[in-house]
Amino acid sequence: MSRVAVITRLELVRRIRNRSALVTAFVAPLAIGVVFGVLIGGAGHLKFTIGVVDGDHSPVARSFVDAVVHRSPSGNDPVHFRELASQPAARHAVDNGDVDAAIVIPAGFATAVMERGRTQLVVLRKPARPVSGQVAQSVAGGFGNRVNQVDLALATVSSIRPQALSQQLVEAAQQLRAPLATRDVAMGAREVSPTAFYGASMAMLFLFFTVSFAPRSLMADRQQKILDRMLATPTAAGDIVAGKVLAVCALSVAGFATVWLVTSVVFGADWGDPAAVVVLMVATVAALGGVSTFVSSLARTEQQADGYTGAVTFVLALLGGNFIGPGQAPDVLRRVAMFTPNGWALRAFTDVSADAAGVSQIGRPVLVLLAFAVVFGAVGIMRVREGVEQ
Amino acid sequence: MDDPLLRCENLVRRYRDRVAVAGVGFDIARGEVYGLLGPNGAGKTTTISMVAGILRPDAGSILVEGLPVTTGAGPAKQLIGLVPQDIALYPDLSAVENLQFFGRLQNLDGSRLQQRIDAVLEVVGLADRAHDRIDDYSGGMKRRANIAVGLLHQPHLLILDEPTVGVDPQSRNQILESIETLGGEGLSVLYTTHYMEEAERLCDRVGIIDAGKIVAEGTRRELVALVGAHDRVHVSVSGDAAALAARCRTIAGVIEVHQTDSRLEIVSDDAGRVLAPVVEAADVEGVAVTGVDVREPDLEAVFLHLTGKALRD
Repeated sequence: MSRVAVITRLELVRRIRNRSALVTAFVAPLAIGVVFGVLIGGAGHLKFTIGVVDGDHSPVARSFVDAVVHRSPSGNDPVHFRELASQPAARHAVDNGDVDAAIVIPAGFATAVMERGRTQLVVLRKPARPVSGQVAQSVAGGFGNRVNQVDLALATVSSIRPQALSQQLVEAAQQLRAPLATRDVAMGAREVSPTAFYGASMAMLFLFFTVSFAPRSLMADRQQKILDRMLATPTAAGDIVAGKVLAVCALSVAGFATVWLVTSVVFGADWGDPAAVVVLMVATVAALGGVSTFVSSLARTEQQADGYTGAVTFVLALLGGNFIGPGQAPDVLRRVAMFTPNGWALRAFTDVSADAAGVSQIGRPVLVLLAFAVVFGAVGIMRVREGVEQ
Repeated sequence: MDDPLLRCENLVRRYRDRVAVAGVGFDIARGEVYGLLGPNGAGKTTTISMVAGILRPDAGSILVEGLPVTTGAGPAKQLIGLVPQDIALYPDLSAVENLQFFGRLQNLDGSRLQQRIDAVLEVVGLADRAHDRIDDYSGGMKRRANIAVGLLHQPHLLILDEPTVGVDPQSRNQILESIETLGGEGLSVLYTTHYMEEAERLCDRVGIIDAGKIVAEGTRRELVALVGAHDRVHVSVSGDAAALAARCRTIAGVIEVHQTDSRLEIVSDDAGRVLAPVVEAADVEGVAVTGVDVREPDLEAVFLHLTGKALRD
């Protein structure tokens, strides 16, 4: 058995016996990934029920109510409308949670529009439910814009006939659709499985800690003078570093694969093409391993390495979008995420899951991840090795 | 020294601006126990780290059986066994698991490895606790397990860095007896200590190291002679002490005699040589000897003389 293999084997035996390492590599990412996927992941399938009150009883108002309440929603349409009798009834329904928000077309609405007087739609919402309030506001805004556009178009015609305006408004109301913002947040051809997304996301988060075992183990060995004893044998410093790095890479891939298998088999999460997932997994372990090794190499003690790794992990996780559901990150954050290895990895995992991307379609992110691995890993390993050689 | 097992020449090691070892050189013969005696911070550990191939010297050379010792994976390292001052073992593994790991790094495997593990555990008296975790051992047992790893691959040179620090008297004695046995079996030993009595008990020769330099080297007697120290025999008598003092001054080997009441202090190069003639002289003078106390100069005195400070400073 080569000396590298001897060191790798010992590291694995020690890590497997050490329950905290098992928690970091296997249990924690799996548990948190599943919890995030099941609880927060539901945000990807939000359903809203919006109440609508026709207080105007005009053809325009009736057309709007009919358009939204009696349309044929698709199975995964997130917004449903229910007609309510009056504004007090709508207020009661919102307060009781029977509907998430309500839109009230007040009496005299159509008349005010035709006479170019001031009028407005009323949106009832609960402060505790900002998202549903926004959806209702958006639907009402869409209707208002339509009305205003028709009004403006007709205003440019020299002869204004009230009957024509009314008819135009009715048609505008009938053409109203739920605004784009309320569409489901699926990013690709298929929906991203929240459990798969958060499983990968949390596996990555804990990967930073798992891969940092290698430099931290070297620091511990140095403090306990075990490193001296190893160096007093015919073992090169490079063999010691390689043995430790191989052990944590094996542990990391095993941890990641466990999250993949359990979320797929037990929770039915669809991660996408298995070959692409494996390739991405290995590239991700390499990239995060490189970054983590570099970060740990800046530390002088195990405690310092823990601190540095923790800080960098959470900053990268925030910037890379590990805590934000699929497709929910604002544009700025999406752009910033492309400067982080975990951001690239998450995007690639999402592509594999949502767009059914295969190995050939993830070449670019894999190359970027390997570049992170080579650049940061090479510098990190060089620094660690220099420290070992003294 | 012709054909030494270990030859160190002009070793230098700096840590930034501080010179830890400044031109240390010494030889160790086959089967010799050589002691590096010096206070904490004198450069002992840095010196043996270079000899063990852990630290790269800034200057100088180290040869073991003619093979250069380097910080890489050179063959000379298979001739050297290191027992660090700290317990350099994985505490979460058993003694056997630690021995298996370090044995494999020393190219041992299979039945040969198992034989050597059994043998060294027997030597250090841990055979019955072989499968216990190191962190379940007492301090003395950990020390002995630490030594076992150094002996595992049957090195020609065993380096022991203060192996008895923090050890209870019983374990300490057991460790010293093991080293005496190993020295008696022909193993060369490089032993660092700041305990003068250990150096005197174990070492054939001693190098006194201070501030990164070997300031004196030789057998205990050579070192004592080097600084001009003498043995002192204190004799308590009943009778004519003055007459006995006068007769003692005529004995060959006696340098001087001081008399205070019924007590004589006889200064000599070799107390063992003059003791019998002194007792005979007392018999001749009709003086009864009621007590004898022989005090030989020790390495502590030598160290104090050479460096102006005590070993435990």
